[in-house]
Amino acid sequence: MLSYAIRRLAVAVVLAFGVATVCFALVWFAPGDERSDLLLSGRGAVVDTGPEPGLVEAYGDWVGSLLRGDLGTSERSGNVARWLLARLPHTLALSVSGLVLAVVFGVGVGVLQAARAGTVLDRLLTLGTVVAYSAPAFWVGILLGGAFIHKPMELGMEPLFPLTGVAPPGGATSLLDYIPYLVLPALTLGIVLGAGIARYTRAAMLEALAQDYVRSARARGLSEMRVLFRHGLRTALLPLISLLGVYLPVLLTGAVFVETVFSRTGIGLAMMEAILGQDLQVLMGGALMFGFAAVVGNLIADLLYGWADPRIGDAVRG
Amino acid sequence: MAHLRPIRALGTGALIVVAACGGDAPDRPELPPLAVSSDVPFCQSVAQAVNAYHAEQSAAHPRPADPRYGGTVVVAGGGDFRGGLNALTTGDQTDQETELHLLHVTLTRFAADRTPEPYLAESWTLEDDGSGITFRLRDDVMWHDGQPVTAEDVVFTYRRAMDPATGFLNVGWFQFYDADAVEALDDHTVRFAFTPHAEVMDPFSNMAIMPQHLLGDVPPAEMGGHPFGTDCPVGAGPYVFEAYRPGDQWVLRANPAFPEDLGGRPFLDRYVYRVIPSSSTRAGELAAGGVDVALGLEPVDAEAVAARDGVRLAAFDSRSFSFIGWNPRLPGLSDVRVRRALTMALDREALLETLRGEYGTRVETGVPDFHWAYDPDLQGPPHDPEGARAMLDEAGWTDRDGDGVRENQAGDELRFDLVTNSNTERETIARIMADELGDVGVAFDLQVVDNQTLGARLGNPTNRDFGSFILGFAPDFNINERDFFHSSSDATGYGWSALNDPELDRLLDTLPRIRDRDQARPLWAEYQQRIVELQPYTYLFFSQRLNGLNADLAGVEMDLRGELINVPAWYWNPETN
Amino acid sequence: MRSPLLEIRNLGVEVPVPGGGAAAAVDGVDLSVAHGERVGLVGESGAGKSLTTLALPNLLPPGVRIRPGSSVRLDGRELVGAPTRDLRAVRGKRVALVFQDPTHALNPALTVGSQIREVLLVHRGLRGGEARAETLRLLSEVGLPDPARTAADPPHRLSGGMRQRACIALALAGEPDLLVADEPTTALDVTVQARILDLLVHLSEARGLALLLVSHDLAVVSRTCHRVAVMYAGRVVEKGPVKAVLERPLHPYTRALLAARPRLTGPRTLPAPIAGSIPAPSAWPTGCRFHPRCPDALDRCRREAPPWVGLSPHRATCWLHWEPGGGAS
Ligand SMILES: Nc1ncnc2c1ncn2[C@@H]1O[C@H](COP(=O)(O)OP(=O)(O)OP(=O)(O)O)[C@@H](O)[C@H]1O
Ligand SMILES: [Mg+2]
Repeated sequence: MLSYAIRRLAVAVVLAFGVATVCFALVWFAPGDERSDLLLSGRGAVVDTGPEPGLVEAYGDWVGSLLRGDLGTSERSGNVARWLLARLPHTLALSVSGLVLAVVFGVGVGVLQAARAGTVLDRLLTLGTVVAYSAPAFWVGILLGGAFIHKPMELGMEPLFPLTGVAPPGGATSLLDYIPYLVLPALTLGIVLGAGIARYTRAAMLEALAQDYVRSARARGLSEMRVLFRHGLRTALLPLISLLGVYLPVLLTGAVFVETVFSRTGIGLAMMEAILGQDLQVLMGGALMFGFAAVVGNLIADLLYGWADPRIGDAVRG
Repeated sequence: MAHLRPIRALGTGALIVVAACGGDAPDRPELPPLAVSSDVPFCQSVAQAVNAYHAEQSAAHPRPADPRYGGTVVVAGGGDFRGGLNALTTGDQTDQETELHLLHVTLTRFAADRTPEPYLAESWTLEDDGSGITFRLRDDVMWHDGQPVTAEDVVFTYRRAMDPATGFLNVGWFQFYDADAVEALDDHTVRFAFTPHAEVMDPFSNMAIMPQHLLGDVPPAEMGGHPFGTDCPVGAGPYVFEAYRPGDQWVLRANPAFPEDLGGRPFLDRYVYRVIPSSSTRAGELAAGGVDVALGLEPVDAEAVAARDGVRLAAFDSRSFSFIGWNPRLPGLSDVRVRRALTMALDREALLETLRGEYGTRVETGVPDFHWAYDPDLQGPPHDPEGARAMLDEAGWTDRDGDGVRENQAGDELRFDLVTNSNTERETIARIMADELGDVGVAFDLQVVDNQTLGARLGNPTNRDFGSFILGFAPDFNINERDFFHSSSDATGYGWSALNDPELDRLLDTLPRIRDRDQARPLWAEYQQRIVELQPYTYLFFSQRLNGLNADLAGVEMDLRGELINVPAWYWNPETN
Repeated sequence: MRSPLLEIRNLGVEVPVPGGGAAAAVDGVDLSVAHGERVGLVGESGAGKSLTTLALPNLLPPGVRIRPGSSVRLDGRELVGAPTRDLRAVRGKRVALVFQDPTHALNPALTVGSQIREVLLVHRGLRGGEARAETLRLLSEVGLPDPARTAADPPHRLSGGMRQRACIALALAGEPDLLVADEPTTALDVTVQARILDLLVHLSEARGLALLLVSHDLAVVSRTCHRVAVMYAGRVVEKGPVKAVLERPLHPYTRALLAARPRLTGPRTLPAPIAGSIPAPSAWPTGCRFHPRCPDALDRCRREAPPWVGLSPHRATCWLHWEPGGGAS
């Protein structure tokens, strides 16, 4: 397992490096004058220090500043790394809670559907998940906002959650203060992503339930709950772990829309604003962060997978 | 209690409102001690000093028992203060107002009739020949870190502002100032020296004083990105900086040590500015109780606010107007007949009605009707598409090949780039414009770009890369359009529509030097007449500023001078709470 | 005489037919197993052996159902139509199943030990150290050499034979009275097959465990079982003590199966003229279902289902041995 972990880690480092290089190349080979400003901004405020460096030198400089955690400076946003890092916790909180909700919803609904396959309930849930799956995140967000904020207000009640923001004005005094602000955005992400997970889980569960070992488990007199969750779901979920690694970028792009709808000052919103304002530095910094997040997510998924499925560790060892 | 409208429990302000029904004095909890913190080396000692001084002053000046004291107000606006709250480097409306009226102090401030009244300066003497002014400063105004505000700070601030290396945006204020214009006569006396000119007092209410003891060593060129502005801005005004969360919030605290004569400690303990880019979201948050003041609403959102209980709309004249600018260097647009025809082809009345409804006023020049120099008899070009067609024919532009677009004899089409930034209102204007002007045979290629690109395309004197553009602009009370229309401005940034008209040049050169308004008035009328004749811009309308307010927020004054002019006097109405 | 442990009467199992409707893939099977008795169930592929075994604790796949009028009694208690909760108390606890393919019968994601402990917990309430000790005991009882290690291993680390032993240990964990083994050795190496069969016999004897052993192969049954039933096309066609059936088969089908015996390793095909295979349940012939393949088929075989003939306990359904007035030839 340890050597497996080390090997995955090495792969992740190479991947992260690749992501960074692709980002660099996209900008370097892009037409226009932006490139030199962008790539040389790591050298400090004054850019015109002699002739423009060549590809190799520029790349070296750029990687160097990247390793120092320097993402350059943008006219709109100042120190890009600082600008983005200040927002990272909000995006992480949203992504993680959204993912947890998505897994809870998705797996719950998927298992229920598989257990009741072919019934009216199954068909209704299939319809629901297809709709939620194809619905844009911002649309779901607006609907939820309508249901939990505007509707109660129309009825003369207090809105159930804050409409926008990440923390009470003036700042949070405890971690609990953040939660009301997280509910609707996380729910939005949870529903949108959960729909995909539900569809996957249903199919995987049906397949798992048709396996011999599930029949064997039933033959041993285990309760249906045990059969569904310990035997069916466990194997059905193994691929889901790696699927979640793949989901991470989806999660993050979902966060872009959700953060925009709920005015949450996370990386996603920063990127949205950067797109509108053509703030290439922030855009590139955000892309890098998303890229790294995807690599880290996949690494975690790989490690989890190796831990959860004993066959993987053995396959690598043997 | 007419209605119980508790703002959801969002921080202190909210709790109070809930707790305070029944007419008792509202019980507003004290805030924890101020704790400015930063990981930037420059700011660490600064933050320490500010925290310590604030703690000391809070103990020395406990909150008065008056029920108007205490609570938080949350103000939402569309943009972050990207450059921070350093008055030498910022220029957007809301951050400027936050600097002028909350964090910092100015030498003078505008009274309701827009005449200057004492502020940091307790008195002043304007020299009879108009070539200098001497200010006497108060000695009881302290920087938020406990240092006294002195004449040195004033000298420092104005010298930096005049230094081109600083990049201060309104450097034009100092056009008539001597090279060594500012000097400290003693610790609390400052003198400015200049060539006599009009509206001398204007800058003194618009330039916030910055701390020399903190920024004195910062080279002018580094002022822009300096962490002072974002991490630890220190002012001397009624509110103290508490925290900045980039892209999200600015949090300010009441300054307990603000001099009684200047209003003393503000009523509200805390002032929070939230960035909420969309107007409709700001309005929604106002209705939902998440914010107490929603700045800069679009008319449709303003209408929704006006229709709701518990919130009210403040609509007031502002200094910002919208216009279409022309590039008079291009064939066609260089001909004043063509520019006039373009204005005549456009139904500006309908445009105003569509975009702003009742919340706007037609204009014919950049001099608004509330300005003393406004000429009420001025007549702009009428809406007359037929007349426009005739005028274009006469100028030699006719549709020679029958494709609906006019050409000149050489076969050049009457077709222009139309550049604007992404902004719903401006994009609507662009569409209507392309439509109505298309009807008279003029074609436009619409290009929507971001602010910076727009600035670059308009502002480069060697390459004015546009045919026409749509923009908004908010001039000072002291209107000076020399930078825009004078023939010499062709070589400078703002001169995108600079004309080469000797008569206009003469007016632009003369007007800023005339100190007496009565004497200047006829010339101003001439000037406005000339602008209408020359049509460097097609002037559209002045917009009213539309702000939504929580109805329980009392004492709010918003007018032409600004929307944050009296924040220290805002309070949560103890009666209705 | 004591009542049998398991008594199957007139068992019918209906499977869905492509194109709609249902056909009885198991059609009126009678079979009983006494306490401690080992009974073999033999027949070609498609005879309905597996469906018969799955029907006992009703583990039939979706769409397949037990025909009304069937009866399965365990110690006299009717299982057909019993609520699922009661059936769960039977499964694993009274009647344990061992399947043909040990590779897929174990959950690949769980260690062998944890799967055994699960049964110990559910049926015997054992947990913690007790459960661990019992797991090791079970694993060594089925002859696994290093129980501690095996318990901690995921199934894929075991060889085929070891896996089947683990499956048997799992089956024993609930201390059942009847072990139903559906071709437990078919998927294994020939060398391993014999040892597994020996283990089953040993366990049956040591624990007084009844065994219902399903197989293609009469040879397998002959070395393990007391009695045997031969199935063809959903029906039992011959049954009796193993020795009698092997030495004096009554039914031509049984004889054909015996003729195929020597081919222990190769494909088990029946010799000419009865080559071919059992048709699908929807296409079963009238009369004696074996008649299209029967070298000795009479006219009558085509029309009428044959009666039981022979002297109890060795009997068969075949017109060839029928004498009006009864009795065997
Ligand atoms: N789920 C099902 N749906 C439809 N038909 C089925 C189903 N299960 C079994 N059958 C049919 O029932 C008949 C008997 O099947 P069964 O599995 O009991 O045979 P078997 O004697 O066990 O054969 P094998 O030796 O191949 O295991 C076969 O013809 C088979 O096609
Ligand atoms: Mg079978």
